[in-house]
Amino acid sequence: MLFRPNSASGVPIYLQLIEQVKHAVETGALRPGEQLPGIRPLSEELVINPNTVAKAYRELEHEGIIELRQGAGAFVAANAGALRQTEKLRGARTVVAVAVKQLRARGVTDEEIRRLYEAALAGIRGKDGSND
Amino acid sequence: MTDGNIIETVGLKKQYQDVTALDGLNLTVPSGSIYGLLGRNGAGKTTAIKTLMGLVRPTAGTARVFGLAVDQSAASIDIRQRTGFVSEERDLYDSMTVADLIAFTAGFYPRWRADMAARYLRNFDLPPGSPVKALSRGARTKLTLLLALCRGAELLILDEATSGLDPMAAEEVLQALIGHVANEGATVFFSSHQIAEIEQIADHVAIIDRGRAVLEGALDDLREAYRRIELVFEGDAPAAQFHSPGVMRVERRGRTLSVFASSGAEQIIDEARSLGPVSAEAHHITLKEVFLELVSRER
Amino acid sequence: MLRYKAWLDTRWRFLIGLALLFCAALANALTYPTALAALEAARDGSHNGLLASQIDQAWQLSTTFRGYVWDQVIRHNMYYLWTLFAALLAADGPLSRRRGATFTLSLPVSRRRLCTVRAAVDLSELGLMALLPLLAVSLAAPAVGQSYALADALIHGIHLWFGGTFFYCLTLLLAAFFEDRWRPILLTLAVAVFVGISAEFMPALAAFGPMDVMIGENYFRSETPAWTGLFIWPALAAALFYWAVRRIENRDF
Repeated sequence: MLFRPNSASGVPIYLQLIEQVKHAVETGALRPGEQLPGIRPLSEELVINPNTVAKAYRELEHEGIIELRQGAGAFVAANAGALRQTEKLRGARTVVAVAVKQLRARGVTDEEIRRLYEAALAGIRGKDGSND
Repeated sequence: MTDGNIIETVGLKKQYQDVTALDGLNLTVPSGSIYGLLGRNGAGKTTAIKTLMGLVRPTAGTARVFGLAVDQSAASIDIRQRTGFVSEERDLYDSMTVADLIAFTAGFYPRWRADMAARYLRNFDLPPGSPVKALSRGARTKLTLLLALCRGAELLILDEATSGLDPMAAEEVLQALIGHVANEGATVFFSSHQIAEIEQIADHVAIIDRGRAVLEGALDDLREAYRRIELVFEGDAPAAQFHSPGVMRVERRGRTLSVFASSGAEQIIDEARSLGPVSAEAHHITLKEVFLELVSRER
Repeated sequence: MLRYKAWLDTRWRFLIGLALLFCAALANALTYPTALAALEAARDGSHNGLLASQIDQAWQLSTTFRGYVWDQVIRHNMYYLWTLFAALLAADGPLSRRRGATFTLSLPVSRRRLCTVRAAVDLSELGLMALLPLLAVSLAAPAVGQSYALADALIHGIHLWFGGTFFYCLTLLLAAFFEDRWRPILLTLAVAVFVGISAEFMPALAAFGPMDVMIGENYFRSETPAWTGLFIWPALAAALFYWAVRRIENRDF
């Protein structure tokens, strides 16, 4: 089964579904043009509220990840993969910007920041976090 | 009437001789929703439901189902014609057989679905020839549910639908409910003291405590608005006052300040910056935490 | 469907009651010669006072089969036994706890209709319980060399039935207020017994109670049905019924 929302996590189920669909598109579990399960069968299968599934699908359509075709069902949009990538990078960019700001606020120089990132990417860690 | 609110109570009161079961209950159940009524035992859930079904007369206030007044005889009959009911005690005619009881009930509802009844009889594994009194608790619940689902009702009212059931049977009941809502439409109003099932299927929730609704709204809205903000400080946490209206409670423990908020988490974090915390995080609160928070606060 | 349910709920009381009344009446009829002889013998004994006049009265009436049936079958037997079953049927109504009251009340029928349909079934059964035993007496009478007019059987049966609706509705009303089964039954029986006993010792008072109409006193003595009584007691019963239904309509379940 492709989707597994956790109703007790405090995160709205429809958000979880949206995230899971996006993740599926990213990993390739869902390909552009492929059909998603219908709202009714999916809600029956997961034993969750059909309104919740409908809400998730509407939101996904609004974001351009899926298309809801009258009478036919829900399909992954052709450019869904690309959209997801853009969104992912947008999020990533923010993370980096915040980190850089915080480090600069602590007095770390730009050169040191670059080296820290490279070290982190390479997986090397000194006792105090330095490179050698 | 299908748009708008299928159930509406305003200031509903029910006074028994020495007990106030309902103390000004205000509920609004939108048409097409799955609405969970959450409360402790004795909070007033069953009394509220019995009032809607016309079993109990309100002492004061109003309650309308399908826009009809529940305490007027003719209107109440109309309501019951369009509503499927599963009572807490699964009250049925013990001396009849399963098949007889189904045939008996079918006689009252012109929109009875015999095909659906046959299907549920099979899926629920109910022996048609068995007397009702010989059924297990789980089978009894399923039979009561069958009788409620097959009458072509626009509204389903269930009082503790899964209580006393093993997880398998409980899931079957929820499945049947979701299947019915997905395929037939119908609004569901169900009471429970089990948070898990409300979180699983409800899109609206009300928390009832001592005869009053202490919380009501769309479940997703609540999940997005309620937060527990954790502020960690270098030294001991300050005894701070927060002025945002959404703050429910502030808890100080050592170097941590926990703020329970029903809304405005971002404003609270902004306000908190002036205190100079080392870290400020906003966590999602589960429905269980909200429930415990609201119900214990009343003391 | 409601009639069917009412039948299911009451059939045992009906069948047992009918059997009891039927057999009791039949037994009485078929032992007429023996009973008469016993009364004659008792009469010859040297009793005095109240008991003597009672025995004398009984013997007087039993010299005719018609009088015997009136005194022994109707007045001393059916009056009590029939009333007992009227109370048994009325006390355990369509909304008594045991029989799925919550389920019944969630059906799209008014409480008034529930009560009315059930009362109609009960009273039909009680009608049969009043008429059939007496018809049996008519049919069995030749076996002991006697005859009992069908007209008598029918008219007495109707008197018992019509007059007895009072006791049925009294129990119904008590059950609506007491919400338990036993007190209404016992109280109604107590009233019936009190009326019955006081009728023996204070015949003047009896005219105000339902017993006179139920046993068809007027018709027995003068071959004229008690038209007034046959109207008044059911009317009074209807008032009690209305009161009981109003109470049930306003009750919480």
